[in-house]
Amino acid sequence: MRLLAIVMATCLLVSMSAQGAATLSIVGSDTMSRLVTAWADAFRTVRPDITIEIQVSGSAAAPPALTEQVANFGVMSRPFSETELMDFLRRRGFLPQGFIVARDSLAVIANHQNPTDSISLEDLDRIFSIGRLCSGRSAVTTWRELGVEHGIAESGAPLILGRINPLGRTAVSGSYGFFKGNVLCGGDFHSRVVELPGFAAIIRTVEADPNAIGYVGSSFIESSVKVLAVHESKKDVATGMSGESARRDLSPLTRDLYLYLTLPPGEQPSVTECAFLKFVASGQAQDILTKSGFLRGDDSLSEGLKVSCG
Amino acid sequence: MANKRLIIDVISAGMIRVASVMILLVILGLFAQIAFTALPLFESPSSSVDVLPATRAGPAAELKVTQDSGANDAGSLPGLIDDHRLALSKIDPAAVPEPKRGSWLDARDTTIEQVHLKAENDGLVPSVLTRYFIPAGIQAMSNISLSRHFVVLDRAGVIHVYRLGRSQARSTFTEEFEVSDINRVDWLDESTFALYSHEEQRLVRSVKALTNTLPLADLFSFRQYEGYPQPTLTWQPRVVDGAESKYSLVPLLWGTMSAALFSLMLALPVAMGAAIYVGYYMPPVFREAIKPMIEMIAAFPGVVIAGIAMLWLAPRLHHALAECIGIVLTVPIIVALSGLFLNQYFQTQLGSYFSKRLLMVVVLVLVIAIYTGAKLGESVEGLFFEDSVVLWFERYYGLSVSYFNGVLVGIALGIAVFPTIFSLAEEAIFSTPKGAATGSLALGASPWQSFIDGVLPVAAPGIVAAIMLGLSRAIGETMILLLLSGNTPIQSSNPLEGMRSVAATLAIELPEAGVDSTHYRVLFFSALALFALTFLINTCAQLLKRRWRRRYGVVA
Amino acid sequence: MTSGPLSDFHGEGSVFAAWAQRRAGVMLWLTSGMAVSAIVLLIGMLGLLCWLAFAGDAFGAAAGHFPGALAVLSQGEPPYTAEALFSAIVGTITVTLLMTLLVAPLGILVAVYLHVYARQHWYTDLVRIAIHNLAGVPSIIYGVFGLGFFVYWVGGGIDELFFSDSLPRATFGTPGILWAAITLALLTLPTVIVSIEEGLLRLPASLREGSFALGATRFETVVGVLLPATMTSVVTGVILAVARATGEVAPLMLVGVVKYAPSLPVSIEAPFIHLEQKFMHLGYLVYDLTLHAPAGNGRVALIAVVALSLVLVTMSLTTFAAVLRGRFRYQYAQEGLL
Repeated sequence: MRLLAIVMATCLLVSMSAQGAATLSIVGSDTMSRLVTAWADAFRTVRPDITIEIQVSGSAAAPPALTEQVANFGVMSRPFSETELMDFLRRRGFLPQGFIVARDSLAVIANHQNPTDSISLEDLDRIFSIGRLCSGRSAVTTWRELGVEHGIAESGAPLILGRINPLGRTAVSGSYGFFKGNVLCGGDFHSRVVELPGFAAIIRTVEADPNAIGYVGSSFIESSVKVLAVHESKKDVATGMSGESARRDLSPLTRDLYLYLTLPPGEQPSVTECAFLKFVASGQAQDILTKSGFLRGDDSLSEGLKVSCG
Repeated sequence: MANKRLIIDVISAGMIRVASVMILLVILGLFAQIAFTALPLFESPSSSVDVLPATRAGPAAELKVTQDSGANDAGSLPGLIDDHRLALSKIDPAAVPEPKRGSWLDARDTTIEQVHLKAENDGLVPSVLTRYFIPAGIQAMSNISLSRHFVVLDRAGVIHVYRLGRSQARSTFTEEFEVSDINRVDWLDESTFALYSHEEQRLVRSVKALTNTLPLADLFSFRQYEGYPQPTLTWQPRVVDGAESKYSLVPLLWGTMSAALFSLMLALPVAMGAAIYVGYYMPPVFREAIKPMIEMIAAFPGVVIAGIAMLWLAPRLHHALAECIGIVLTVPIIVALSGLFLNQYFQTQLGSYFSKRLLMVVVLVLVIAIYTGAKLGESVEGLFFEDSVVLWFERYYGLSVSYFNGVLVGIALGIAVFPTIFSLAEEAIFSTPKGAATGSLALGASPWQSFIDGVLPVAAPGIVAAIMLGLSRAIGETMILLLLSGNTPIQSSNPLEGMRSVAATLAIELPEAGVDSTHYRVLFFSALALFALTFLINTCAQLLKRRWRRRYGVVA
Repeated sequence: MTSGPLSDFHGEGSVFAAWAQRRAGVMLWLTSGMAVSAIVLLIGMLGLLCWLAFAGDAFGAAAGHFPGALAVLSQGEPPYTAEALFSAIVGTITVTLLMTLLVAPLGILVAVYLHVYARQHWYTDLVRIAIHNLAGVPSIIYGVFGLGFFVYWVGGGIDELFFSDSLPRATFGTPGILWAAITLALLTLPTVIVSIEEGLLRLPASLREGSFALGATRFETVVGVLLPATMTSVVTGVILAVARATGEVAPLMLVGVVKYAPSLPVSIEAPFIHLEQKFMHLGYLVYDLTLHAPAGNGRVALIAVVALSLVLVTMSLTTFAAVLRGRFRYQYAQEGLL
């Protein structure tokens, strides 16, 4: 009893001082989580009185959060879908404002012990899709069917590669939707494709399993995994995407990354929101962007800031 | 005074009743929310038709049909703007999309065929998925809505609402009006469509049909979805517009049950064995020290077990599967054999069934057994399975092995469930009255016989409660399944493959599902189905418990 | 009871058949082996956590080591700082204690009501079965229910009644630590109720009947005789509840936990416990780190350090409860009740 009282008293004594009055809340895509976290940290040095709460689970979390007015900003790796726009319009009476603040590419990664260096979009479709609507060919379940029989273990000995272990994100992720739309041509994922709740989990698994293949946002690439060059088809020349080139605009899997906010027509964003938006358009934020492994977005934000936010 | 005590009694009884009923109502409110969210899923669509009033029909009425409003504008939603204007949606998931993806409708006079592309070895082949028969002939047909429905107006004046993939109409409306000039049916949004005549600018009806409902069979039967090579049981809710949502609950329920089964298979023997030892054989002095120690395993929350298992255990298990199986098989055998031969050296004093020396020797034997098991597994793998059990089975038997598999889930979930079963079972065993066991011993039975005949029948209800609570915990556990099962909605009885549980699916998808959409309702229904399943299991357990209690009469 | 079925027996002449003797030996060794493996498992898991947190090279190239974890903690950005970790520890303890304050009395109330006061009809059995089954409902449903019922309905109501001047900025109508504690209490209530009821059912009928025979009222019997006798099962239930609650992340994400909260829910300023604030939780931090850990060294060690803190917090809470349970048992054994 006494011990408990002492502990509680200590906690009371060591508590933090005044809380920040202003809070901004950002909800959405895991792809942008590193970028948004880096921006929030830099923003804190500029404006320590504003706290930023970040909740990233997947792009699909942003539209409901914005519709219900639970978040100030939504970050998504895909634009609002028609259904989401309709829902928003129905609830709020106007449309959300979106800006393309960055671009990145979806990288396909494999284990270092796997000798594959490149893969075609067609083969990706055959591995990941159940209907194979993009390729129209038969399904691929083992590495042998792709012509890869042996890998090289760390010890140097040959390593037999067996069944492919395809990894992806869960259905709430914008990258899931992007992959589905662009690589699977709208077809469905096979039931055997593993769904992991975050990109870091995919990286960890690919690090550990020589049979694994997965897709991650290019900002998550680490040296512990190998990036495969993605080319359009077997016959085409590989158009890039390995390490450095993943950061250049060369891959067929580039996508725009969006920042959305709710802005009733005729109104301005709040002072704190304006502060953050101005920061995002500033050179400091753009430096952070490139350092985090993203490409620059377009001018929509700077143009928009000329109109509102004074 | 006696009166004061009576007053206290009556007031307290009243307060306890009221408070408990309120708490029970809140608890049951939870259940009610699940039920009332899920069950409207099965409403018949035609039961909630809300027919908007027709405009003034007739040549004098002016109808301006504008196509440039819609969700892509800062403008208005599609629908009736006022009595004179009907705004159409710009969204037009075309009735005939470009070949290469999806499916389309081929309309003839009395039949409509839904054709989809199936991948054969050399390309995409169109094949008929569903045929819709309209005997009276088609007067007008709509596009496909975002909710994957389409509307047909036949020449007899009957409106049929079809859902893609089912040849049976979801609902039919018969209206009394002249149909000969109606040539357009358009979806305004997910659930409202309008019938009108474009040339004569005459709006006839705008109908709101409930489309966030499903027939029950959709959740449990094999269905041939568009783009799929064969009928399947699939769980894949729609993410990208234009695809159909697949809501089969069978893989999810199967996954939950198999995860619970694997975990119980591992946790039950260990928990029961430990409970028997600590509650029956151990003197209270030692029990006071050992029981809290074992219960400390409960201090590892599901998240921590899941995280550490995913980061540390999963890679190792993937490579060391044979050693693992070796350990699991050899350890009990070696311990049992040593018990068989060595026990006689530890009975120092007649009547004492506990010795510290025994415990220390058991630790030693256990360590030796684990090591032997691992080595044995390794050598067996090398001798008979070409150095890799996993690949051997894959090669010769086509058995699929996953990185995230049932063994991993079983181990992690077993660790999570173990303390629950152990705590309650041990309490049940320890609290049985001594009379039966000691009497049995006095009459010459062995300690084990005395346990089976004297203690077990009395402790059985408590043990069953412990197992049921453990099972419930395993069914409801979210984090471990989310990170370790791979979330693959397959029904497989192979413990080396992945699974997808209801709890993990809820954790992934519920926060993002639109309130009261089909997806939302299906998710709540899956929770309801889980509830029904545990209800069944628990009811059987309760009946068993009641029977035992009555027979062995500790308390009436 | 202070002794089990077997512990007082010092009989003689225990001559039993040789095969039964053998079998008894085997079962003794097997059961003790299970108990020992449980302890080995515990030590192994703790050791693994400590090793991952403090030692290096747990996995080769991408290893984490404690200096790395320290470096991240001392100079990293929130929420990966030492202050944030402390904030999470405080948040976890606060919400768990609040939950215990709710679940123990409520569980006792309901269990006593069902066992003593309610007429034993088929509907009480149905209620009992419903409660037992609610333990199997996935925890996120409780989160959704807590959000809809407590946060929006009850919280919104409180806002309109008491805090109407600060609307539309919600005070209690938004996720916070109070609603999180209530949701957790609801989540673990079935476990506690089951445990207490089992304890009550194990009591000999003579205890209750004797008390009534001596003229005690129902209230006095419950408070004076039945409850003390089942205190151990109450504490067991609370232990199980606490263990479950510290690990439930999914419902908390909906009702009040955030990745980074700048202030503690308990502080020097009145009213000392801020029930409407959002808070940090170690379990959520572990989940977040596993999925979104910052790249670089110290990553795994960071996860292990946070996990270790969570385990230690839970262990201290449950040990405290277990010690309490031991004292109850001792105290009531002295009074001859057990």
